[in-house]
Amino acid sequence: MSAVAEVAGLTKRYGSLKAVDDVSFAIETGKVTGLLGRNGAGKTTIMSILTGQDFATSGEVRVFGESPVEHSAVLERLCFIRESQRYPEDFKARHVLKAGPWFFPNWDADYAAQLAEDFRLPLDRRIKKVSRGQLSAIGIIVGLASRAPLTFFDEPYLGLDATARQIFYDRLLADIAEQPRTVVLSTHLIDEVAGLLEHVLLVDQGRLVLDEDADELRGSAATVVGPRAAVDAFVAGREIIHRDGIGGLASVTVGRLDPAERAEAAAAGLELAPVSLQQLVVRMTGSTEKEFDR
Amino acid sequence: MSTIAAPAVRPTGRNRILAVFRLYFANPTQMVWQPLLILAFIFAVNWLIWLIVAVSSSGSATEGMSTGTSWSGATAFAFVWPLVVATQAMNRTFPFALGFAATRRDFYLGTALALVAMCAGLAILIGVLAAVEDATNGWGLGGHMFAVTYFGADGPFARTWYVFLLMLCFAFLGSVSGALYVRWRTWGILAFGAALAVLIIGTLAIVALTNGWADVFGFFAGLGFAGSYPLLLIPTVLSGIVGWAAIRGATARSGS
Repeated sequence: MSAVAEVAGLTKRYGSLKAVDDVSFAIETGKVTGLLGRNGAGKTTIMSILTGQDFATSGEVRVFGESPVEHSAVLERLCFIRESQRYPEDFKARHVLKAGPWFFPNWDADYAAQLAEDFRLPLDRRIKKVSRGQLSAIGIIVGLASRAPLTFFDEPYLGLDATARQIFYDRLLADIAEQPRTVVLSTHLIDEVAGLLEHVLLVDQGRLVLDEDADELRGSAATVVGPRAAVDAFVAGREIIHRDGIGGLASVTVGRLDPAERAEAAAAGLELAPVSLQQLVVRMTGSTEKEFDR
Repeated sequence: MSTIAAPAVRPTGRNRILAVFRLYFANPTQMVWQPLLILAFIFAVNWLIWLIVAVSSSGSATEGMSTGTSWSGATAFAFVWPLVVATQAMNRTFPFALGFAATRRDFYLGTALALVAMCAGLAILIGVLAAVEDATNGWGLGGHMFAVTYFGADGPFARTWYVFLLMLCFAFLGSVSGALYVRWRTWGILAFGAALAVLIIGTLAIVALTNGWADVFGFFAGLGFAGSYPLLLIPTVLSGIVGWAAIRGATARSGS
């Protein structure tokens, strides 16, 4: 395993507020990492520091083996268009695409033009006037067309309609298969991207609460469904993550089940369903699911 | 920190200072077309007024107009324009350049270069128009808009140079205010304004209290236009240095 970026003991303070609190992790080369967490958890701050756009208060940050701060050789391999990215006065989307190749060595102009068409981005409208979804599309197009070895997507789904979300999903998968690179996806719409993620970093109130392989994580819990009595008997004594039920049926989410336990459940006539990443994350960050659904 | 597969990171040699410079001309509306249009409009209006005066008055009145319009401030906007552009550059283009993976240094040098280019372009244009104005005896009507008294009578090249120096000074005053805002928000601007006010009023007070007006006038008279205008480079360069000190520690944090 090799890491494209490593962070050790990273802390960022804004006055008395600790936006990022003693965080350490590594981003693996060639993988899609989800940087998950609630609004204000510190996701954007972490990405800003990784891309030299903000400064760490303390701790060590290495990207491509070096500090990203004011380091051209590192920065030109990165792309990070923030969710609230500001654009020059009077810029239209086409000016953004025009400037792409001046800054990103691997910029693919044809691909950018194709994406703009796919997302139905109005190239000739001033960026100040475009909708939230179109603003997100600009960020996505730059992120994909830059073909930067390490690309960050900051809340790429904000304001996008279902079709556009699917386009992003499909294009990203296809493109990283063709041109392997490292992607960091920050989002609170977890179920939408769950299928893309190979690794998960979960931050809550500035602290890293989870750093795990996505498949590993998905297997770390299961939902047992069946007649209430049978389910209750099966889950007795286990850690219960979530409980639901209608009439005589119950659906209970419990921690990891080993093969023997799975067999036992099947023998008892119970059904086992996988648990969504979103449900796990919601539980770990002590929030109600509603907040993530927004 | 042992698992890093440290590929020797080498820059591709892509010139990002030039890239930032080009950013300002990616959409030439604000840098080129708007100032030209405004200038053309102001000129047209002025010319019509001269025409009205010329057809409705005698020869001596026209003479008076020639003297009067030589104090014209009609091009003043052309000096304020670079100031506005420079302020917006810091506030809007800076976070964009960071998003496009430029360093703060690349951004600042590219921006300074763009401001110099813009001021040079506008100054040359005004210089040429001033020369035409002189050659055509005030566009055939004895009016003045470009060859005005503030830039002396040292010939077209000297005049262009003075216009450029004054414009550049405005541009960097704009960039330093913008940079202070980006770094320290409203407090940065307030502190800058206060420092500037203290400096100016303090200087005036010292001159007034020491009865030094004659000396001051004598000093500038001794230097002449050719010696005085380059003194503007002092606030220009100082603004450039303070602006860099602010930007090198500024972040792309969103906000207003």
